[in-house]
This record gives sequence, C-alpha cells and structure tokens, in this order.
Amino acid sequence: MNRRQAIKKTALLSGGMLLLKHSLLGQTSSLSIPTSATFGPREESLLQLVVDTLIPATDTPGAKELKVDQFVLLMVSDCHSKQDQIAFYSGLHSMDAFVEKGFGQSFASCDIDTRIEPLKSVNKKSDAGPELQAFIRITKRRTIQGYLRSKYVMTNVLLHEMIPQPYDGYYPASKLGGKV
Amino acid sequence: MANLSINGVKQNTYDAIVVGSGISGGWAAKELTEKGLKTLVLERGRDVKHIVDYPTANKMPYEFKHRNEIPHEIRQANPVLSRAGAWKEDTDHFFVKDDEHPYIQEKRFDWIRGYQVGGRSLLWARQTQRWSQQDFEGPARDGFAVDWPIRYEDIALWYSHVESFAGISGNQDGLAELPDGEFLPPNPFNAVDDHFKRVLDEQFEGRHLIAARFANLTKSTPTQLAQGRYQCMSRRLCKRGCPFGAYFSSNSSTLPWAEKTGNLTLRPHSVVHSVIYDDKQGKATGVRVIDSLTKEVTEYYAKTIFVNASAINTNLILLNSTSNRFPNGLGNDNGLLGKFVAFHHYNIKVRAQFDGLNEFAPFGGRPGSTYIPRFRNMFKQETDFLRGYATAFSAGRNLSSNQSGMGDDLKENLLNPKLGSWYAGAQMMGETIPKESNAVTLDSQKTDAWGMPLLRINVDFGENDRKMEIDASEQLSEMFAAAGFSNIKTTNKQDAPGIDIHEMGGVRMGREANTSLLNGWNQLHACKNVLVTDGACMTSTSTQNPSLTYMAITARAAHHAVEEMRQRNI
Repeated sequence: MNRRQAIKKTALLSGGMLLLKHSLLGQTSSLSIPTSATFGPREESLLQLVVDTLIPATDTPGAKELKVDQFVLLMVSDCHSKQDQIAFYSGLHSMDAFVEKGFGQSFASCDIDTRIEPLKSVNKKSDAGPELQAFIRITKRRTIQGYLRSKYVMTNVLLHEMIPQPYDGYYPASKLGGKV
Repeated sequence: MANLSINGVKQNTYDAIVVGSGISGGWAAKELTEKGLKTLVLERGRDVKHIVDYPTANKMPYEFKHRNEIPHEIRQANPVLSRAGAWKEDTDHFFVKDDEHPYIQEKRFDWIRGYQVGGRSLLWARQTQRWSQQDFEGPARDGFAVDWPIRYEDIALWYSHVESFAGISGNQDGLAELPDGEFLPPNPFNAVDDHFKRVLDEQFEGRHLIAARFANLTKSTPTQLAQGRYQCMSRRLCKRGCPFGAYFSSNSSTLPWAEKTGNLTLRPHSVVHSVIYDDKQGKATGVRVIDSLTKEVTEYYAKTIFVNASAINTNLILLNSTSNRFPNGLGNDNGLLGKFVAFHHYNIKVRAQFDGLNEFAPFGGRPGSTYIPRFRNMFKQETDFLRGYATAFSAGRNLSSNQSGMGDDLKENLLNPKLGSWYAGAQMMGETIPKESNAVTLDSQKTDAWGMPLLRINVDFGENDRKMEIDASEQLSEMFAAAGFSNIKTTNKQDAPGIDIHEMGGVRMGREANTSLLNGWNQLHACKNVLVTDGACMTSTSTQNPSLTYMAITARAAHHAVEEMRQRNI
C-alpha cells in the first residue's frame, strides 16, 4: 500500500474527514477531504507549484515559500461547500492530464517561465472541464487571500497598521497613488 | 418553589434586582447602586470582564485561522446568525448560536442575540441620536399605537445625564428634528461628505447631512478617565471589545462603575424563569432563577425589580410569570403583553460612484460616519405612508488591487494597490408602525434546555413599510443624482424583521392601564415595583438607533423608583 492509497483508505474509514498533519501558524489541523478525492504527495507538490506560479518569488518570497498552499487546503476544507471540495480535488487531480494533452509535458516539467501558460489556458479551453476551472478559480482566490493576509506581507510589504493615522478627509490623492 | 430557611431568604435578599446586564441593565445597575441600593444583576450568559475577556482585541488579521471567515459547516448550522454581518471569527464568542436557544418563527424573524455580561452592548453599532418632540408625539398625531406617556422635555435632562457619562461625539446642529446634546468633538467630514451636505443645503429644504452622533470617545474627558476609558484610536475593531474602553459598553463603563460602589452583586449563568408575585402583599417579591450550568432553581428577593432582559426575552419572562392574580403573565390584565412588537426598516440601500474631487482622498481612520435625520412627514403629514426614515450616509475611496492576471503581473498588481474613485452609500433607517398582530407568545408544549417555554415570534412588515421603501429608493436616488453621483444602484435587501437588531415593544408604555402595560415611569400599571426599561417598553420606534433612548429612560426610571422606595410607595 503506497501513501496515497493509505491516505485514501483512512479517509474512507473516517467518513470523509481526513486527518493530515497540517502546520499552519504552528497549529495542527485536521482537513476535511471528500472520500472521492485522491490526495497524496504528487497532488501536494502540484498544488505548491500552482500557487507559486500564481504568485512567484521575486525579490520578495512567493506563495510557496509563504506556505500559501497549506492555507488554500485549509480554506477549501473549512470554508467551502462539499460541492466545491469535490470539484477542487477532482480538478487538481485532472490537471496533469490536461497539461500533458495541451502542452506535451507534465506541469512540473514545464519551464518556470512557461508554466503560467497552462494555468492561463484553463479558462479559455473548454476541454479543461468545469472541475479544473473550479480548481483554478478557488485556488487563485484563496492564494491571493492567503498571500495578502500572510504575516510576511502584512508586516514587511504592505504594512498593516492596527492604529491608523488621524482622519484627514482632504488628503492629497497624489500621495496615495491616485489619479488627480 | 425553592425551600429556603429564613437565613437563606435573608442571604438572597437585595434592595433591587436587575434582570439583564446589557445596555439598559447596566444603566439600571449603575444608577441603583450609586443611590446606595444593594443590587443583584442577573445575567443568563457567562461573565465578560472588560479587556480581560476580549481575546481577539489585539489580534492581527493573519492571526485568525480562517482570516476572519466563519467556516462553512458552522454557517450552514446557523442560518439565522449567518445573516448578522458582524458575526465573524473575531466576534464569534459574543454571539448566540441558533441551536443554543431555539425559538419558533411563525414568520421569518432573525433574532440575533448576545448572551454574556454586557449582552449586545459589546456589539452595537454605537449610533446615538436623541429622539425629538415629534418622535414622542408621533402615535398621537398619526393615530397609531397609543400616546407616549412622556414627551421630549421629560427625558431631555436624562439624555444629557447618560451622554455626559457614556461619552457621545457630535455637533450642535441646531435641528428641531434631532435635538442637540452633550457632545465630545464630532467625527470629521471628508470632501464628498461636505459636497453632499452643500447639495442638500442648497437644493433640498429640510434635509441635512450631519456627523452622526457616536458613542466613541473622540476625546477623553475626566468623566471617562475616571472610568478608565481613553480616547478612541479609530481601529474600528469595536465589536471585539475595546482595550482602550473607547466605546461605551456595560462592560467598560456602567458595570465596573456600579461595582466600585460596593453595592453590586453580579450573578452570571442565571436564566430568569419568572418574576415572583405575592398575591397577599399585592406586589412582586423576587425572581426565580435557573442556574444555566447546574439547572438548580434559586429564588432571589428584592423590593424593586428591573426587567432588562432585552426586548423579546423581557416579554418571555413576563409572559412566563404567572400567578393567581396574573394567570396570563405579570401585569397582563388587558391581554396586550407580547403585542405591538415593532422594529426598524433598513431594506433600501443605494450605492453610487463620484468622479469629482479626485484630488482628495480620505486618509486614516474615524470611528463614525454621517447621517441625514428624518425629513419625511416630520412636522406634518406629506406622503401616502406614515412616519419616515433617517439615512446613514458614507463616502470614501478604497485602495484596492487589480486581481486579474497570474504570475509576476498579478504579484505586481497585488503589491501596488490603486486608489479607486469616490463611492457614496446610503441606507434607510425607517420607523415601523407597531401592530397588534406583530406579537410574541409562549408555545404551550415545547421548552428549551432550561425548561422555559419556547417563544413563538410572529412579526412582519406591513403595507406602510412597502410604501416607505419605494419613497426611500426614489428620494435617495434623487439626492444622489443631484450631487452628480453616477452609476446609482438601488438595492432592496428584502431582509426579514429582526436583522435590524432593534426589536422593540410588547410591554409598551402608555397613559392608560387598559391600553398599555407600563406607566410613564416604566412601572407595570398593575404591579408597580416591577419596571421594564429595555426595548420592550417602547410604544413606537422612531427612526433613531434606540440604545441611547433606552439608557435615558432607564436612568430616569431608576431615579424615580429610588424616590418611590424612599417614600415607601413601592
């Protein structure tokens, strides 16, 4: 029995609740994964690649380094409907076949600069299927949220101030990058 | 009935009992203890100590596991609570879950509750406009409900009393329809607030944009410093509980103040079953309490009892307080207890864009926004519907990032948010007409986990409300268009009653014992040592957020009750 089968079997036994050791903010959480889902190391690393393609490392860390993939899994588990969860995992699982078919190689083996093309094509190609499209839609939404609401971004890049400046209703828009 | 020795009775006897520790119960506790009365405050929920029990108050957004979203399964399990916008991960611990206290909705009614010390005073929207003379005269002028037994002049000083202590910000606006008060500095306007105000002043007679009065300390005076409360930092995280005590709540203000007198006993986990009426003495002698944890029943005794359990629960307790003298509920000789329940009507929202004044943007934070006092049918009847609506207004510009694209482009966009154009938003705050058919009753069979009968709630909008919706939609759009706002979108939220969280009535005040439950001092006509000063006492609703009026009515009634006790009238 390989790990994927083992995980799947556990999921069946526990009625859809799959316990994954999941380290987010130092908390260990249990993830709810539909029994129909296949989720193992291959899917785990595929998701990491997807979030890192959506928000790559530049001179600041990308989504993978900020463990946004774990946040995506947590939110799909806790804040989405069963229907969304099924589509998400099924879409994730079908992604490699879609990329192989359209681009002649697996997503992982795509060049880092061209990896974005398969992701962009999901919404344009009808053969991507609604589940893969749902996977991309959910992943993108939660990746943006997890990235912008990460400790790193909120304390190093777009600083979050618990106590704002005193109110000025006539502040020069130009200082905030607004059109004048 | 609990079996108590004489010593036990003595131990459980106070001068006054206050049922409920929310915004009005807190005021009753403060006023009664300050007058030297040994006062027992009963709260059905757990204790929430100021600051100590605000676990999320200083958390950064990334410290919330789901970034402040309530998980899907929990939302599904709480269809009523899900409709409360303030229910998020950071405030979850202050809201009652649907299954914790079931009730029967004969018609959909979203009953949003906060069972803890402080009640919903921790969660309120903090707008504090006074009622005007026209508001109190409304039922008599327009022929609905019954005449209020009080007028503005009866309560004006009490408004001042509670405003000075609580700390209310606002301008002296000089408007007959919205009396001025004791105010801290107002929240500042922004460029579009000023623009909209000018348009109303120039083109719409009798319509004024003002700084809404708010219970946030724009400045801390010695009165608030003595309470350990400090100036508002505009964090706008009030509903988590404020570590500066910068907005008024029972927890930050009245309850600790009452405690300092040495006369307060606070008993959390106390579900009040009923008020005990003694047929021989012809008055109430105490309350029967079910401990919410042990379910043990205890009786507490006092000369005076304030029922401030929040409007609907006050109705429940009185309906459940039956005796030989009052088989249909305490003070309910006329059968009107539980009837004429009303609420506020918030269904119409208008949103628009403004492409002018681009050189300015709002920057920083302010705890409050702006407000248009009621202008419809204010001084005389003008439309085909009764009464009118106030309007909450807000304008601003958002910094937001373009979320299209993927990869480097997306990241670049996310990290460089752009200033959008100005938006303007308005929401009606309508008065509803109390109707006899809008009522709460007790189910004859079903009970809750504490053996209390389940409430049946049968409350709905009426034709007057629908006409008012149409007018609000037209008038707000017209004012927006006159201001040059574009892309004006009107929405009817089609909410059910309840979600305004301003439920009122059922134990209304009035002049006559045959048409009302309470007299002009909030005493039950038929049992004068029981007083009701929460939302249940309201004869009509006006348009204003009601809490300030509950506070003033409570302080006034408490002073009168103390005087009546001194003269041995109750």
